[in-house]
Order: sequence, then structure tokens, then C-alpha cells
Amino acid sequence: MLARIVPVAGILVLAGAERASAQEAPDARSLIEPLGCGACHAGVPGAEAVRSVAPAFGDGAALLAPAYIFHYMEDPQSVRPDIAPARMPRYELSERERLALALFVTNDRELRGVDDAFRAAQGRHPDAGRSEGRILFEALNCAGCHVNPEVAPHQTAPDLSVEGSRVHEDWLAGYLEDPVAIRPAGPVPGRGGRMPDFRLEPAEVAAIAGFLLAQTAPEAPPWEPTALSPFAMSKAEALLRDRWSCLGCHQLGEDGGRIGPRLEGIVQRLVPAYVRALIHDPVHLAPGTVMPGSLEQPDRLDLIASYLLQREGEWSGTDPLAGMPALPSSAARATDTAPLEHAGEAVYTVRCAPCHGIQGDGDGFNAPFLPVSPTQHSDSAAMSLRPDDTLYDGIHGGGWILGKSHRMPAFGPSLDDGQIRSLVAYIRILCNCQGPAWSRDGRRER
Amino acid sequence: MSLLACGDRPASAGGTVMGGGPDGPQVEVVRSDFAGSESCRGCHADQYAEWAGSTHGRAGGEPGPETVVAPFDGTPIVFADAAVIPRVDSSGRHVFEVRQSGVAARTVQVDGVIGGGHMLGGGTQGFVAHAADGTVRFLPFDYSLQLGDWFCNTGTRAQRGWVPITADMSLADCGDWPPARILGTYSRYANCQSCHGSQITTRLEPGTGAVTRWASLDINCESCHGPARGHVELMTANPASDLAEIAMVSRVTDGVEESLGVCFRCHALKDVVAEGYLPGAPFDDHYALKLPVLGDDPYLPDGRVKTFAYQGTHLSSSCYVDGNMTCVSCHEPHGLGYWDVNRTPLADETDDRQCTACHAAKATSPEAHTFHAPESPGSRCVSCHMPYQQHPEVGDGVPFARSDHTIPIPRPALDARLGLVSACRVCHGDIGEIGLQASVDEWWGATKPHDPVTAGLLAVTDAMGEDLAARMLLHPADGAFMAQFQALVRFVGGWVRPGAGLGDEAAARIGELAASDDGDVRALALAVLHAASPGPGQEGQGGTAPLLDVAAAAALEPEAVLRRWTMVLGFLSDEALARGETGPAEALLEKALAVLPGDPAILRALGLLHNQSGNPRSAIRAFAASLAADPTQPLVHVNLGIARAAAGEPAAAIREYEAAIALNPREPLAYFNLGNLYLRSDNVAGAIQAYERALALAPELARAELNLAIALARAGRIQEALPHGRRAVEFAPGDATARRVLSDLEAAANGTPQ
Repeated sequence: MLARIVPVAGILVLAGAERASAQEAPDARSLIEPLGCGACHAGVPGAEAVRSVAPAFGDGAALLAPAYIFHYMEDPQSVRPDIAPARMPRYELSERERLALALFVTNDRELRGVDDAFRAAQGRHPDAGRSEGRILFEALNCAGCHVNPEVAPHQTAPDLSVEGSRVHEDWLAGYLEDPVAIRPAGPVPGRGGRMPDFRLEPAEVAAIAGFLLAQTAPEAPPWEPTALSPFAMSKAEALLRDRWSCLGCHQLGEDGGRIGPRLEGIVQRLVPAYVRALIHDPVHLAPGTVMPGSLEQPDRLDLIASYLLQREGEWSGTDPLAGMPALPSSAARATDTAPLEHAGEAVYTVRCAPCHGIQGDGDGFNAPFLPVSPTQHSDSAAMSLRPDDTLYDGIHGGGWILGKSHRMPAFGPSLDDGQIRSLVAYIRILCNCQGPAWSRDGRRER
Repeated sequence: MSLLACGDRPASAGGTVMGGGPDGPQVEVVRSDFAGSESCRGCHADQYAEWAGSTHGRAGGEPGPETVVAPFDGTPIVFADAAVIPRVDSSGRHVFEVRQSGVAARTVQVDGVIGGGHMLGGGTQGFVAHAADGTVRFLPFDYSLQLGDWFCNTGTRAQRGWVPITADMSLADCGDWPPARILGTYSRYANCQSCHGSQITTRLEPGTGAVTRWASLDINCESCHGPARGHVELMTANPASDLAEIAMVSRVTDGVEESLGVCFRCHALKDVVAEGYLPGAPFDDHYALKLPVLGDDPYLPDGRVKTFAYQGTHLSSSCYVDGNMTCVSCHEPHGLGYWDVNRTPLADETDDRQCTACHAAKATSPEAHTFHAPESPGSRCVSCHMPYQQHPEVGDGVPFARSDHTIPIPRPALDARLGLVSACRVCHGDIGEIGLQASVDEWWGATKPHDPVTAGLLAVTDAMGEDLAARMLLHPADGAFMAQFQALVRFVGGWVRPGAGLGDEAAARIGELAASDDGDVRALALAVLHAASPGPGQEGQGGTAPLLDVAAAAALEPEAVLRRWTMVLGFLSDEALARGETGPAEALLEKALAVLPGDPAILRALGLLHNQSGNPRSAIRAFAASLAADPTQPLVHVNLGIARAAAGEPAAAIREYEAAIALNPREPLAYFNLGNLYLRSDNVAGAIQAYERALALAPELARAELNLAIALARAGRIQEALPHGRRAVEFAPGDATARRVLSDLEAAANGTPQ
């Protein structure tokens, strides 16, 4: 059903149709399409349906008042309980984020309809403006549903085409019913995107979960974890803490980064064979992931997978607003749609900037969660002491082999030679320096 | 790399160690803690099988067809004056039958086989046999697989290194004839420490004498993993394996230093800090890896082998200093095959992936780096960066080349200056160093510079002033700890005199080194500051002032560092004594006593110094104090006896010798000195008997042969004296007294009056 324009409190707003009755047996496909799952996820029907009903922002922005958007995004259903099925899901947004988004999507310089709450928010966040809202708009992939002339949509959330080989039914149902952030920094590190709450009814959850779980990878090899003794568990834990790079990105207990999902309770969320396969070869299993593959041998992969699947701890998401910078500085570049000046920049922005900072200042949003401060690639004096080959080797083999932090992963399994060389070249741009003369002189092809 | 983490130094021993920490919480390790490799086999069958076929698993053992690769086929090893016949006797025992003119034939039973000739650059096999004094000694008949021949080490006598045995050699040209080097770490004797087998100990058992024990003469599981009996018992009692602690640490979780420490228990030169080490005990309490640099540094300025060393040179490699490379980055530890840093199995030692798993940039276009055809030997990483180097002290007679674990960059001109065969010359022997260096320069341009410490070591000269030398050599913030240690030793050798103080530049830099994370460096720096400080009552003389608050510094250090500190002072004392500076030598030992008050080893050294400088009264006091601190020192009793004899107290001297014999009934020096006392008091019969007992226990004692010859001559038994006189000269060809006595004996035997 097409959306219609109705006046609410003197402001023009959009309203959806009456939602389907909970008693009706919903058809998963008819739910997924209007929900717009395909706006963010591959492997499910596309987002054309929702795009046709969701209001575009741009020319139509003037139709909406900033204060309305500000309140609406806090809890869309409380403002408009009748907007299913092409409904606006609920994001866990901070006041500042709602303010910035409202200013961006309405493009309203006169700030019509401003109320006391809006003014108070502005007072608390005087520097939250339209540009920040634009970053958020892209990070949350609002453009996936709401056409915007400035921001292109992106389909970077997990591919759901093998969801049945990936997650457990109970977990999926619970997640669809009450989603929480799995990757607090977003599917692309630094974007901050997160799965919103669609306020699905139990029958809807069951239908969608059933649909997704039916999508499996036919060739997925079976694998079961080895039952680990407490001693073997402590061994794996020591390796995770002191030798492997996993906790550079993933949080385990109080330790670890914030780029990837927390590692507790994986057994409740993921299918064991998927965990094992993901650790081994994430690049092929989850195209587009920033997780690098492991260089470890099968016995160690078994150990770590078995450990994660047997480690005590309930699965939980991560509050994206807790312990994270309000807006990752790296997001500014990660969401910038301006043409990149260098081929390495795109790779750097996604894989390096979360720790090393978008400008190479060592201040990426993940840096505070690392035991060793990331190298400042912008430090000309320090970087001029490192040969290009050493930079290459560190990217390829990880920090441990260079006597640096073992939390720096080896990207060799996931980046090709050209990508690594482009990264080295980009780091040279960031430091505005060259490697030491002895590493450059005299080398010539025969 | 640290003996103890910086800023985390308890007053007592403990903390992170270089050379490997304890294998678990157990620090008091005894022989009964070990279970043997067979007890591992049931649960760890795969690892056992790999190990059993490895060079560790086949490193030696009881003599038999499985272990002996040398030909025990009755073919004689021919000397100019002897024939030695290796054969298997009718009882199946491997023996050397020694036939020498003028000496009764003797048969030496082989009790142990050392090595299997496995090493690529020169594999050898040696043999040990029980000696009369309870020790187990290396026989001088070694076999080289590459050579296909017997050889011996002439190092302690003929000084020609290792040489194939030829018919123009005398048996005594072999420095270990009669066998002198023992198995096990026991400083009473020249020894090969405890690495030619597993859990080897040689200890004094009071009342019995020296006792040597070993678990096996291969390198068994517990050599690396530590004592396993507790583990075996625990796991046997808990087959469900639901334990959080298994009475054994996992080597998988070793850090870099811990991992290196496991291998450096044997694969590195090391000085003994305290005897009695068994795997699982704190390594640093027993051995120091850098102290061998003191004296005749076995390493070149860049850490490569100058004389003879092992794979501990890895500590000077950039892969370790700038990275995290350990032995198991390339060597699979059970089967001892090769793998890369990610444990991907590799075909052999030439596989480039040992290097390119880390140096990935070089793998993308190898020829651009190697300038050699891709499939040629010159394109292999190890050909240029880990060339096999014949260890100079061995000489050129017997293949004994070991891969250079400093993993150097080829620098043909420098290599030539340092007396090394450059990696380039291994293949391009027809090109001189200048030509080779020109190619290096053309292809790679400027070579990676050495770190500042190594650069200083390469450039410093004795003619430089102290400040300049300090600035060149001492860089507390730069370089590897091994290089820092070498540089400070170099500085001490050239610019430090006991009690003479230090210039401001040197004092400041050494002061910083005294706070190093590395225990060896720290101990050396503390000792140097201490040594250069004026002695008690000398402050202000010649502008010197104390450079160190000894008590305060010592209070911060664990015993392992304090022991190193005193060992350095002891070394400096020996150096001073060698220069004839008795006073400074004594002062240095007194300083050592300030660090470890009442230490029996320092008191023993002090007594020896007094004995040597003709001050028996002081020697008596020092030896007595040493014995008060540790009464189980037979040799201190012997030396106290010597001091008392020198002080004109023969009866007291005899009591000391008897006390030594009571502790060690097989102590030859007690009998030897007793003989001397008897001889001086004209108790010739007693002397003869004492010397004969000494020689029965230690046939290598050339002076006992000489004195027995003299005693026999004084008893009118010239013909009996002659062979002893000959052996005295044979075993100590440089002993002028022995030569003169032999000449007299021969003259007497010929009826010529002398």
C-alpha cells in the first residue's frame, strides 16, 4: 500500500498502511521486501519496495520539520504506531545523533517547528550539525530506503544467503525480535551502522527466521568442536591474549577491540562449522568482510574455534553508544563519497584507519582498546626509518613478526600484492616521507 | 629480553628470565621428578614418533648398531706411537683397544655414544667412558661422517684444532688423551656441560666422590618440556583430562624469551653461574648466556662466530632484535624438520618460505632482490643470509660448518676484514672481495647500516680516548643486548682500570646500562661501576669517587644478577692478577664479597689469589671462611692444605688433605698434594704411593707423572721412573721441568752422571 501524506500537529508526515494482523500467517517474502532488508543485506530480496514508499530526502526535505525528525527517530512507533509494513525501524540513537540527522535530512536553515526539547538538545550539542548528520545518514544506510541525492546506498551488512549455515535458529529469532549491535563500529569499521529494531511480531519473526534459515550453503563442510580440557582452554586463552591478533578487533571480557563482534557466547549465535570456517577463510565465506584470514595450521584453528565455542559467557551485543567515541573520527573519511586520491586510501580507510586513524595519527576509534598504541603513520621521522619492505611485511604478516603488537593482524591472506603495495604507497603519503636511503638506493631490475 | 622486567625487580630471585624460565611453578628440581620419554609415548604418540626419528631422538645413547655410525670393525686408528683399535668384543661391547709402545695394552669400554653425525655442515660422533674417579669422560677418538675418518681435538696440547688422525701423530697430540673432559656441568673438571644427553648431572656425593648420572644420551622429551613425573601421575589418575593444571607447562604458549631459552639450554655458549641444573629449574640461576664474551670473546663485533659457538648467535640477528624470531619459527621442535613462522611444513633447510613467511615483500619478485636466477642456489635466502661457516677454532681439518644464525647481510669487504669467508665467496671463490663488494654495491647500493653499538664495535680502536670510546660503544637505548654486552666488555678491556674511576661520559652511559632490562648487561654494568670505583678508604684519591651505591644497588637485584656481578668482578680480578696487579686483584674480590658477603666461591678465589701471591696466612683465613660457608668442598681443603704446608704447618696440611679425601675418596689432587708433602719430608715410599693413587684416579695429571718419576728416582728405581717421566713430557710438552727431569732420568738410566 502506498504511503500517504497526513497532517500531524501541523507538520506533514508520512504514514504507512495498517500493519498485518498478528494472527495472520505472514509470508516471509512479503515481509522482507517491504521491510527493506535488502537495502543493507545481500542474499534477500531487494529494497525497491521500501524505497518506493519511504520518503525521499532532498527536494522533499522541506516538507519535514527538524523537530519532528528529532523526536520521530527516538521512537518512531510512539509517534506513528500505524506505519507497518513499510515502517521506520527504531535505531538506538543518541540525542546528538538524532539532532545531527534531523538537521541533515530536513536541510532546514530556519528550523521550523522547533520545540523546547530540540532547543535544549542544541544547547547541549552546539557543534552537532548537518555535516555530522550526513555522515550518520550514510553510516546507518538511511539511503538504503530514503533516496537522497547526496548519499548513495550501500549493501554492506552481512550476506544472508547462507544464514541457515551461519546462525542458530533461537539466536536468530531473538535477534530479530530484539536486535542489538553485533559490530558496534558498523559492518564497515568506523561507519557506526547497526541493525535497527523493526518491532516484529512473533509470527513475523518466525516467518523471517524460517526464510533465512532455509538459506544454507550447500557445500559447507561439517565440523564439530573438540571437547577441550580446562588446561587446553587456558592455553587457547593465553594464545588469544598474548600471541594471536583476534583481540585487536574482537572484545573478550574486558580485553580487546571494538571492530568485530564480541567473542563471548558465540556458541549461542553461530553454527560451529561456520565459526571454524570463518576463522580460516573469512574472505571467501563472508565477502566484503574486513576480517583477515588466518595463517595458522588446522590444529590451531580447531583449538581457537573449539575454545570460542566452549568458553563460558552469554552472548550479548554491544551497546554502540557505550565506550565508543560519539562519532568515530575515521567515519568522516569512511563515509566520504569524494573520489579517493589514491588507490590505497580505500583499503587504508577500512582496514587500517580504525586503529591507525584516518590521517594516520594513531588515533583510530579502536586505538583506546589496544594494549599498544598503533603506529602513527603520519610521523615522518619515525616512518622514514622503516623501509617500504618492512611496511609491506608488517601488513602481510602482522605485527608480531616485526616485534610490534601482536594485535595487528596479518592481512596477507586477504589482501593481494597490489593492495598491499598500494597501502604502502598511501602510508608514504600520510607520512610525507620515504623509507631510509639504504633501502631505496641502488635497487634495480636486472 | 630481560632477567627481570624493568621496574619490576623484587629483592629476591624471580621474574622473567633470559634463557628460559622454569617449566612451570616447580623450581626445585630433582632427578626423581623425571619420567623418561617412554612415559610420554602412550598419550603423545605422534609427537613421540616424530621425536624418535629426529636428530634429538637419535642424538646418542648406549653403544649399539642403532647408535654407532663410526666403524668399530677392528680397523686400527694408526698413530706414530700407538694403534687404537675400535671393535666390538666377544661380549658385544664396543671398545677401543689402545696399544702403545712401552705401555701395557688397555681396553677402554665405550659407555656412551654422543652424536650421530647428523649435522649437515659436519656431523660427528664421539664416545664416553667411565673413569676411575667417578666421572664420565670423552675419549679422544671422534668420527666425522663427512670425512669418513677418525679425528681428535688437539686443542689443549698440540693446538692444531680438530685434525684427522694420521700416522705421523702421536697419541698425546690428542688433547684429550688421557681423557680429561667430562660429561656434565662440574667445574672441578674441564667439561662439556650437560648438553650431550638428557638430565646429565655430575655431582660430588660426600664420602663417595663424583657421580655422573643421566636419563639418556639422546635429547629426550623432558629436556625441553621439563620434568614430567608429576604430569604422568596426575594424568594417569585423571584420564578424563578435566584438569586446569597438568603439572607441566605448554610450550605452545611460550613467549619469545621462554621459547629461545628452551633451545639455548644447549644451543648457546653459556657460563656456569651455579652447577646442578636440571630442566625445569630457573635457567638463569644456573647459566649466563653473555658472560662467555668476557675474556676471549667467541663472537665477532657483529655477533658472528669468531672462535666457536652455537646457535645462540641468533641473539645478534636482526630477526630477533627487531622481530620476534625464535628457533621454532623455522625448526619444527619434535621431528626437527623445517616449517615457517606459521607452522606450514617446509621441505628442507633451503626452503625460502622460512624467510618469506615474514619477509613477504621479497617473495613478490625474488629476482629483483636476489639478482640470481630463480632456481639457482644463489637465489635461496639461506645461501646469502645463513651461509655455513666453518668454526675457526676447529680449524680446517674436519668439516664443522654451522649455518650462521646471526642471519647477516652479505658484506664481502667486511667479511674479509673479519677473517670470514663471505657468503658470496662460497659460490664465487674465483672473485676477490673487492669484486664481490662491487657487485653488492652495484645491485643494492648502500647496505643497511649496523646498529650504533655494532658500528662502534667495528670502528673503535685502542688509541681513542675514553670519552670517544664511550660514545662509540655505549648506547643504552640502542642495539641488541648481546651487542651492548660485547661493547661494554670491549670498553672495559680498553678504558677501565680497577679503582681508577670513570669519565663523566662513560659513567653516565654505564649508569644507564646498569638499569638495563637485561640481567647480564645490568650485572656487567654494575660490576664495572663497582670495579672502577675506589676501594674502601681510597675515595678522593686521584679524583675518584664511588660510582655506585653498592648496598642499595645490590638490594634491588635477584641473586642471579648478584652472582653475575661477582663473576665479572672475579674475571677482572683474574685479569689484574695476570697483569701482576695483586693489590687490585685482591680489592676486586673484596668488592665481590661486598656484593655476596661470605660467598664460599669468592672466598675460595681469594684464597687462591693469596696462595698464588705467596701469602699463605691470608689464604688460610680465606679458605677456612669458604669452608665455614660450605664444608663440602674437597678442593678447598686441598688448597687449604697447600696454604698450610706453605705456612710451615705440614701436619695441619695433611689433615686438610685427609679431610678432602674423606669428602671425596676419589679426589686425585688430594693424593697428589699429599705425595708432594711426603716427598718434601723425604717420605718417598709414602709419596710414591700417593702419586700412584692420584694417577690411578687421574691419568691425565702430568705433574703427578713427573713427581712420581722423581720419587721413584729418589728411591733408586730409575727404570720404573722413566716411563712416568716420558708421560710427563708427553702430556705436558711445554713443561721445561719435566723435560729436564726426563733428561736426567735418561742419563741416569744410561749411566751418565747428572
